[in-house]
Amino acid sequence: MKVTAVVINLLYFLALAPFLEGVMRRVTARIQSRQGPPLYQPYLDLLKLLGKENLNAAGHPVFRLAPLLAFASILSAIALLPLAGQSSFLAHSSDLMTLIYFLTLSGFSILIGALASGNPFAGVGASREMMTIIMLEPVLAMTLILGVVRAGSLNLLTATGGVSSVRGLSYFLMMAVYLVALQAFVSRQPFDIPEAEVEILEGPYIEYSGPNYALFRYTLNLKRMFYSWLFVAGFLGFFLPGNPVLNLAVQTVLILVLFVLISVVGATHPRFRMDQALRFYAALVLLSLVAVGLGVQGW
Amino acid sequence: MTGTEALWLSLLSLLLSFLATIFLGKRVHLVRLAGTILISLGCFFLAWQGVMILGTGQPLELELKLAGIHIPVLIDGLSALFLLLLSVLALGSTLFAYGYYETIETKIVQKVYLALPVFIAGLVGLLTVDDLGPGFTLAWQLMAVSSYLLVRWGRPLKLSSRPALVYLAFMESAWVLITGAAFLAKGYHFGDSLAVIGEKLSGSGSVATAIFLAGLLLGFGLKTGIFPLGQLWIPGAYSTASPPVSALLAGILEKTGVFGLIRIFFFVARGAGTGFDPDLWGQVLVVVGTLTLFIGTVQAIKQSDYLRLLAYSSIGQVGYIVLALGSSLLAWHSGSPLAGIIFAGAVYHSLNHGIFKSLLFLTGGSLLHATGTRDLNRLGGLLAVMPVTGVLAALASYSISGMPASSGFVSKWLMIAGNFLAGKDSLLLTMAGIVALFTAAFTLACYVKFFGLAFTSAGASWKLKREIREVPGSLLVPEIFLAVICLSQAFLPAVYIRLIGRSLATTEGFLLAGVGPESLRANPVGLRIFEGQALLAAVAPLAMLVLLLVLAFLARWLRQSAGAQEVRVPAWLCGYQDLNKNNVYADRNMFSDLKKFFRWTGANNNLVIDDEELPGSVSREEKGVIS
Repeated sequence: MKVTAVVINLLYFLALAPFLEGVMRRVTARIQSRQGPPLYQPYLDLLKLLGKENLNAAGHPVFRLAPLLAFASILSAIALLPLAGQSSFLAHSSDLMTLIYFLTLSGFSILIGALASGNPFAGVGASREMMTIIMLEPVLAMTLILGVVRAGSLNLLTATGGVSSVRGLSYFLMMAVYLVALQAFVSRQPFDIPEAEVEILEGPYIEYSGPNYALFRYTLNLKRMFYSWLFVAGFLGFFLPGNPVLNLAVQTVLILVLFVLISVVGATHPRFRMDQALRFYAALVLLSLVAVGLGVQGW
Repeated sequence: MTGTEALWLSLLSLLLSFLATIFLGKRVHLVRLAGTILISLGCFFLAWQGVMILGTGQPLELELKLAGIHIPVLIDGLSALFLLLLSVLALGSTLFAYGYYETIETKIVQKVYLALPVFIAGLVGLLTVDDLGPGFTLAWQLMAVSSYLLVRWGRPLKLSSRPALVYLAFMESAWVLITGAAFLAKGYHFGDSLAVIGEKLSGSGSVATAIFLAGLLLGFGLKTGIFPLGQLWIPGAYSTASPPVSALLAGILEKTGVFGLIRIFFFVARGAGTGFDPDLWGQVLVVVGTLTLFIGTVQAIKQSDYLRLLAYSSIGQVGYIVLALGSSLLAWHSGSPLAGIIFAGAVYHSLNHGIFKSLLFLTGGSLLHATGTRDLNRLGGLLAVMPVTGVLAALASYSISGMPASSGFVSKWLMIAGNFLAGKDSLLLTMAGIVALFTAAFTLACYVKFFGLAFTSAGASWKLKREIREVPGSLLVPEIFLAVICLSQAFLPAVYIRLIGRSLATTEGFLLAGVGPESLRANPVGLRIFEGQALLAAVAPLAMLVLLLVLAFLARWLRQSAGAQEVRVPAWLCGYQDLNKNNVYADRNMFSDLKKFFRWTGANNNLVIDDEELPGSVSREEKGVIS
């Protein structure tokens, strides 16, 4: 019974993530006065990629392992989530630190795969990806830590609940910071610097194609959905009606709204340079430090 | 065999090894063989003694009389634990040295085998003598002089004499600080045991106690490498000594400093009574630790010399331990049972870091042995030719980055999670915890760089003139030995936490005695380490590993679901050219914007000098970087 809860977590994310990409593409297209692909297009893309040849430029086992690890670790993070306000079955052997490290592991797999390919474009992409992880992981961590210092527990359900428990100054500041950082978490413009198609040709993914690329693509979709879910569960947790099914429905609608917002921002902003983005991220880190500081003081 | 006998037998084996080297003279093969066997024997007796003390739960106390001087010796649970770590690391390094010194010139090998047993004996002394007087001086000087010589003989003299001298100078100033500070205790007699010093401190006023503690913090801090003292000697010394020696320096020499800090702040200070302000000293340790871990790790990221990278990262990792000691003091002062958990984390991290940093230095030694260069810019793609070394380096890198289901995860979890929970009403602890978590990402970046650019990627086959082969088994066996222990630390955390609990229970006069091993089992603030037989978060790595593996199999099934075939293709560079030595991604480009952004943290000089190219003759320019 309880194990099915984990399966529900996974299925919910696996089923919905490509659809959200469809929404993103459609909204972007409309802003650019195009028709845009149908909403189910990303599912077709994934199926098509799975059927193609698997090109391997490295010959390393690391190159082959990286997509598996990336996909598995983001799903592991998802399995731990207290979806729909219900504590996860795995909550007894995991907590916030496990979640953060699983997310890092997923980013890590992408860049070790990129380095394994030996392609210099991938190297540039990997370097940028790692810098982004370094500067942004603290923002995510501090959002959850704000919940921890309020709730006094590292349990994910209480921590996410703790974030919105006191709607004081720290809550609003952290929410603002998270919203701005969200654009970078989901690597859309103006922060899609690690991939930057027109500049470094999708960076880390340049040598990946076919099923391996499908896994990375899926990982990226899941990651985007994960970060949006975290915003909804953390900052908008008080919207939940209480019944698990209704909770899930409300969360889904809120995630959709958030994706429209992300797409609008993404379609209307040009990309930053890496050094500009670093300064931007540093400001976000400092602001979230202030927010946690305020939270500890009880504001 | 009792504990005392084992200690003497171990010292005797080390002495015999020293003598054997003298008698065997130029027969260098025999020197290496005899040295390896005798030192290993010494390690075995040392481990035996540690096990005896932890097993019986009886501390060992004796007093040595040497020419009218009394030296108090105390081996309690804490010493035994560190002695166990010493014996494991010394065994690993000695076995590695056997293969490593095969190709080194005779004169150096002879000298190294004279200094190595003395060095190990000095370390044993530091962990066992119980004074800050004659016994401490004897042990410290044995350790300092022998390791100075070992550092000096690690590279051609032109390169090594300066860092070695700097190392000796700092070791001697640390000695002056430590032995000198003891005289601040009222009525101090040169040679008093630590417990007596603590009692005498209580009558010497709070100012004298504060200066005493500051002196010892600086002295032992110099040795552990706290900011900014560590930066002065650690990078030079660790990257100059030959890798098996560096493995000992980073693995255990540094930890004897941690051991000293624990002895002072958690034992001696207890006796000092009201003169000791745990709040103040806790805050000092937290601030110093946080600075150390952040700056050390950021500096590590800038290095292209992988031995220097490992050295700077040692500073960073020790920062975690110092931070945890400080927050443990603070938590204890506010009456939180988290103090015990954080303290256990600090000791656990000392053991972990000892093992995986030694393993990293040994794999670094293998790299140096096989490629002859210490420059990451010139390496790449070695996994294909050195698969075993590559896997071992990956394991150690993964562990030190603290990824889930690794030994680093367990100890970092205990320290950082404890910090957050104890930081519920302390801004300082929360901020320190955040910096520690932030720095974990830097650590990861460091080791992605180390592993990624040496073993994956591409380049070594074009940039190095020699043909590269996997190192011989004599170098791999000790690495595998350490790797197995590293894995056990990841998957049997309950065993190690019980071991730490047991060692603390066998240690008298422990500050946190009330929140010792017993309350680790309790349920403070919603955080449980033991829940019946089922274990939580940090202590449930297997559950997380199973989860990860199941999902990886799902991913693999998905990848194969349409029956895609794998095709080997060349790297695609926009169709203009093939991959060659002019367009591989070299180390200096990695994280260039981030390095610029953190320029203010120092250690920006990233010049790598290999042994065959002496300073002055180097003209390898830092070309423009790609960001």
